[in-house]
Amino acid sequence: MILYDSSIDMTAALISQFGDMSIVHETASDELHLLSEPVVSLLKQISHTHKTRDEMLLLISEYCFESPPLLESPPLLESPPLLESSEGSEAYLQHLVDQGIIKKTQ
Amino acid sequence: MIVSDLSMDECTGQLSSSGLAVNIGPFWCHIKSPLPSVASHIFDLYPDALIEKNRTFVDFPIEISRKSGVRGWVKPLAEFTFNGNVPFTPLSLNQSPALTEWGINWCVSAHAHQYLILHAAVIERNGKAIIMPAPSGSGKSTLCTALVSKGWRLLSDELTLISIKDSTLQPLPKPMSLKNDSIQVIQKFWPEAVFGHLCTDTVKGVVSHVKPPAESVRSASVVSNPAFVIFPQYKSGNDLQLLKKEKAFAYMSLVENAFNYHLLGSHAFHALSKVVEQSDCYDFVYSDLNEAIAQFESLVS
Repeated sequence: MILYDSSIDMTAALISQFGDMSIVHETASDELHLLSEPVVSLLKQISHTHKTRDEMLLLISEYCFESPPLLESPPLLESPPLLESSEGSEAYLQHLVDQGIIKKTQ
Repeated sequence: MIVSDLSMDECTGQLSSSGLAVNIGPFWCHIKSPLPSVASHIFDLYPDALIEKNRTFVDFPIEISRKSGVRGWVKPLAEFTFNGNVPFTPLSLNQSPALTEWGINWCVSAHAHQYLILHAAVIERNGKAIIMPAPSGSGKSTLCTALVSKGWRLLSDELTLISIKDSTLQPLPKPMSLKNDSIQVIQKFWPEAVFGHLCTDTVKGVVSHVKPPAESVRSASVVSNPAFVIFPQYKSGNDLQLLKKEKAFAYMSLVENAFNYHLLGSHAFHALSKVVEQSDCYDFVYSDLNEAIAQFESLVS
């Protein structure tokens, strides 16, 4: 089973927030990351927790998409906004993995 | 005692015999050199610097001398020695004053790790310091010198020293370095400026240095607080542009201009975070010095 975790150890990282962007300084490696605030919040949630794919998609929709479409739209039978949101979360998860910000673990 | 308390002959004699301890910002450099061009450089461009003839402790013991050996008679070379070691390839004898300045800058950037050191100019007016990081050729030193000519306090034209304790800015008022076209630009803009020896054919082209104002040298122990971080760029014919820069992006650009960020680790992180937090950050494009100065004046007024 594939699990997901933060590539950055957020429990030890130093963080400076400037508006909606943050500088994250990894203390072990002195590496610097320029990340948006929602991603920082997401990484804090998942650091050292090994989340499943479904958990990750839920957290991404919660932290990284400011206004979940479902809450703003009237209920629809086929719920296309939910579909869009889910696809968006999956694409975003893949993007974060590709960027090396989130890593897959077994 | 300051350099100008000596006569030119005394200055030359002291430098060529036991050397002279010269105060530069928070540092003491023990300078020894038998070269007349180095003596006149110190005499002309450091007249207001504190000196001590028999100082026991110095930060940087340096010597600039003619390189010995047969090759030196074919092409005379000047060699910079720090604490008995030769950190650079010798340069043409004609470039000795520039070698002295570059050598002192190297001493600071390679050893003064009680500061986070940025490759950036810093000037101050009304208690508000402006940090100007920029790569070589961006017009940073020209703008810095022009501002100083209008009464701005010079903290440094090259190295920004940020205290890792409280993020204050430590002045390092050395002669300002100008290159190529900017030499003539400043000669025209500031006719009273005292220029040093013209060093030709250096790796940076023609280089000359300008004496810092006495008031900037005298107030070298007075630290300043950063109020602005401005990334200047000279673009011929362009209209003046002052564009707000996102602080997070400014932070990353400052790291790119830092000499020892990764060496200082978390100390650098905290020091730089504080600088960026308390500063407004801008990208700045200019083509006219008077317009640029007016813009800077309005920022700190």
